[in-house]
Amino acid sequence: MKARKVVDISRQLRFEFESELVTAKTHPKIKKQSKSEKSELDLSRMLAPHPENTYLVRVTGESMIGKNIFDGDILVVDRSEKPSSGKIVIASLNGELTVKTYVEKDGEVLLVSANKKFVTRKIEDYIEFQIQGVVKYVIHDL
Amino acid sequence: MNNVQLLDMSSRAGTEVPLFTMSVPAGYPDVIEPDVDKVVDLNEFLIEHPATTLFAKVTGDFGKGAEIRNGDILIVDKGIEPSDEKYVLVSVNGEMTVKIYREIDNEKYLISANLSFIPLMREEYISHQLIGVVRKVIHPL
Repeated sequence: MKARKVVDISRQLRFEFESELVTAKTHPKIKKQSKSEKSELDLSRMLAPHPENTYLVRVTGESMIGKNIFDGDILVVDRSEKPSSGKIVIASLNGELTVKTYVEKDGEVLLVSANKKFVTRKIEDYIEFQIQGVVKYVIHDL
Repeated sequence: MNNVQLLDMSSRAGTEVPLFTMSVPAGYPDVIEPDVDKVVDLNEFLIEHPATTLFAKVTGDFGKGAEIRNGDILIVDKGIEPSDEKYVLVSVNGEMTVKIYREIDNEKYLISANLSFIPLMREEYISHQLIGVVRKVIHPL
């Protein structure tokens, strides 16, 4: 019983050793790189360099599915950043918090839903309108 | 194929930010003021097990429609067992990479995330080591 176990392990070790050799021969650079590049990440600092201007929004609904933002995702929003055309923004429209793509076109500001089911509107169409910040990160559960 | 750069968690005093929930599904006409649900600590909110968590920055092609994309940061937990269809961080023949873990009829497989590669059966001639399970993906915009 004991002897058999030893044989099994040695067999596996031999196979591992052989494949290590193959890797070292064929991909010396990749192997070296993956070992030397280990460093640290401060997640809070990356996501919120200015915590006082940062907030999170939990997404409900499917209006941004075309932009790979899904129901339940967490958005990291910077409220101090000025939106530019093409950025994804949080906008409060008639008091309702929504996620839209901010587009400036021919002097007009449009708010575009990524999901084609929802209509694009000009900002004049809203009674009350405010950009609440630019979305910097999308966090998705796997 | 994808490449992975491992990043250890650098601990720092908590950063607290407010968490809102979008009040109604987009397009719904009611006027509801958004409420602050709570103030959360970013690290505590995103990292379940700090002691067994590491980050991985991924570069490479994961294919169209994949949940992981070039340049994303992954939050990986080394302390949990993978279950079927979870993304896992593995070392395959000495190379760090992200695969999809599958259990089909009690057989274990590692499948490349863009699915264009042949399923890699967990045979002993391939030296692989499961590093951890990907819990969240952070995608910069």
